[in-house]
Amino acid sequence: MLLHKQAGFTTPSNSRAIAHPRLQDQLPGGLPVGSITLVHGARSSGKTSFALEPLAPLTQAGRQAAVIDTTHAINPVALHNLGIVLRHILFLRVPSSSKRPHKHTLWAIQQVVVSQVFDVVLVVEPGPLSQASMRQLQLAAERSETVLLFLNSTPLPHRNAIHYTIHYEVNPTVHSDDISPILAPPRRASIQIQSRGHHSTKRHRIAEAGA
Amino acid sequence: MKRWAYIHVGDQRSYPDVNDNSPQICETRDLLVLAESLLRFTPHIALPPLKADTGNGLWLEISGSSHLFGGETSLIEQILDFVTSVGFHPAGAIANRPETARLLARFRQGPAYIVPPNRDRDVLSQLPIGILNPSSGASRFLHQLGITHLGELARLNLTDIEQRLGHEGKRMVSIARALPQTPPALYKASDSPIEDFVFDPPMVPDEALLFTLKRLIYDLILRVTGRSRAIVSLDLELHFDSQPTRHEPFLFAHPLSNEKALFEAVRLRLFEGGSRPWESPDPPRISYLSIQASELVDAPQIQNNLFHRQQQHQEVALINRLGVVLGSGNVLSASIQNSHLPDTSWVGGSYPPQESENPPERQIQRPVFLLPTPLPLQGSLARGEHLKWPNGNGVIHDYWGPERLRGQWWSKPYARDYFVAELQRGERIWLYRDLHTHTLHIHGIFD
Repeated sequence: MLLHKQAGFTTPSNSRAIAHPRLQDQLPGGLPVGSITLVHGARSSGKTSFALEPLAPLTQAGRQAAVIDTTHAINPVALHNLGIVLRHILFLRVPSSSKRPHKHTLWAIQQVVVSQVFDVVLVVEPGPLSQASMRQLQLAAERSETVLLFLNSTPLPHRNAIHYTIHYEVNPTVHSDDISPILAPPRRASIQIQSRGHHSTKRHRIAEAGA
Repeated sequence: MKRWAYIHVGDQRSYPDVNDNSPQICETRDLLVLAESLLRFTPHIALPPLKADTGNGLWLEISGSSHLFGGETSLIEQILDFVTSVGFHPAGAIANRPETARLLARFRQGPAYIVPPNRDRDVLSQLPIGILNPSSGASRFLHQLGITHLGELARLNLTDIEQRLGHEGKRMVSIARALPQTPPALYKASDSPIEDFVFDPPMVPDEALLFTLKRLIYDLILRVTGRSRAIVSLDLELHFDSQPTRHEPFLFAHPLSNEKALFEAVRLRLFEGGSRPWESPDPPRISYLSIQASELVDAPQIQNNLFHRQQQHQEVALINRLGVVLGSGNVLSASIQNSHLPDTSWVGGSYPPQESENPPERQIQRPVFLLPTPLPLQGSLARGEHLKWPNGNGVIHDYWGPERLRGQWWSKPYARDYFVAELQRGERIWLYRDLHTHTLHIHGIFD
């Protein structure tokens, strides 16, 4: 059974749908438009690459996305290597000198989502956000039909929001002596897709999850 | 043959689109704002000498521009519509002589009057002497002669009148005869328009500050758009009674020519971002506020496609808003450079980027997170070794490399051997050994 149906969602079929290359079987309708998707997992688990992947076909089709980066460390070269067309990506950094970084982050997310200029808004390490804030953002995403993707090392409060939670977990790597990391055997990881109120947590193994 | 329009604007002005739009006394600065905003109709604007009898108004020399606006009738209508839209109550006239246009605009009934070419004297002849505002002596003398209209005045001998009434008599007859005059001096607008306000007495910044700011920005945009220009950078200056002067520079990724967008940008900076001294328990009082457009560019071409224009407007407004609060350097696009060095492999620019060449092919694998500054690593590079850096640590499970990178000798000379190390927890980090100091540094994290 499709995870969409298990989770109680209808499959979005409009032209704004954002397909995820690695989840085409599980999420044939793509990432939920007008909703929040949370991606969290340990550092270096591959969650960032996982979250960035849908941006490649999106930007190749001329659609725009925004990346809100609180770490100031997102490397555009890595995005380019993933096939993302950088001219369609707006990079936003929350100033490190800000006395109220969380407030600025929240404000920036709201501004970008409400503008309806971007199909996907990816927020990297937003830090602690209250449930009320998440609810506000959920409503903003709904109104603007935006895919709002949060990338965080720890889970965010989300009880009031319809969302997917994707756990991306890394398993111990296989030792290799003589090959580069690019060719190293794929690490095995799993993705957990979860929805509010349905308790239909399913663990799905992603076999080709490289770093 | 030159043609002059005079626009009389009366003594009062209100601000449309500003919360309190009750009429206010029209001051010299209002006339200057109007003069610069009317540059959109002609580059030749002149202000009368600021004397009591000239009234509030200004001249436009329209000989070279009336055909661009569909002729004189259409032009005067457009000018009057515009002047009305910015809060004045105008009346206008067009004539060959500047003074004829002024008198007709000020004293004839109706919003606009156009004197046919070379008919100034005929039209003036019907007007009463009183509009020339004669002195009491001159008025008495003319009354004794039974002269009540300009037509009768024009028939008097100029030399006799000059001998009797002096310069005043000569001026009045010259006007009545529509003799050639020295044209008024043209107004020269400054390159960096500025609007300012003195708070007397100083006041605690609150909603009244926003109100003042709104009016200043409204006028500043009038000055800027009159020149068909848009604002790239702006300097805001606030003087306080008990604190140092505060300077707030603004740099807009997209030139601004809209008062609402500019007001929003300034409001966000003053009341949402940065330090806000007026939120302290003992707020300082503001004594002076100035806002100056320090750099202007030609206004961007307007797209013909309505949908695209609206979308573009939204995008421009968003980018400027974000730049004002987060800093324009934090709102950017990225373009890949032909460089193998991590420091120079991409450059940031404004969003959306200008049309550019196709980016280079995909490069060799680089970490998703590249630290702005490499951090020193404690430990050595070997399997099972414990590595420690300022905000992390781990035991090396495996590593690959090296990839030797050298900085350009003319800029940042360095030689580094880069490695990818996988820690036992599964993290993959990008680290290098400095070939000069033999120290290890972490430079990136794969994710």
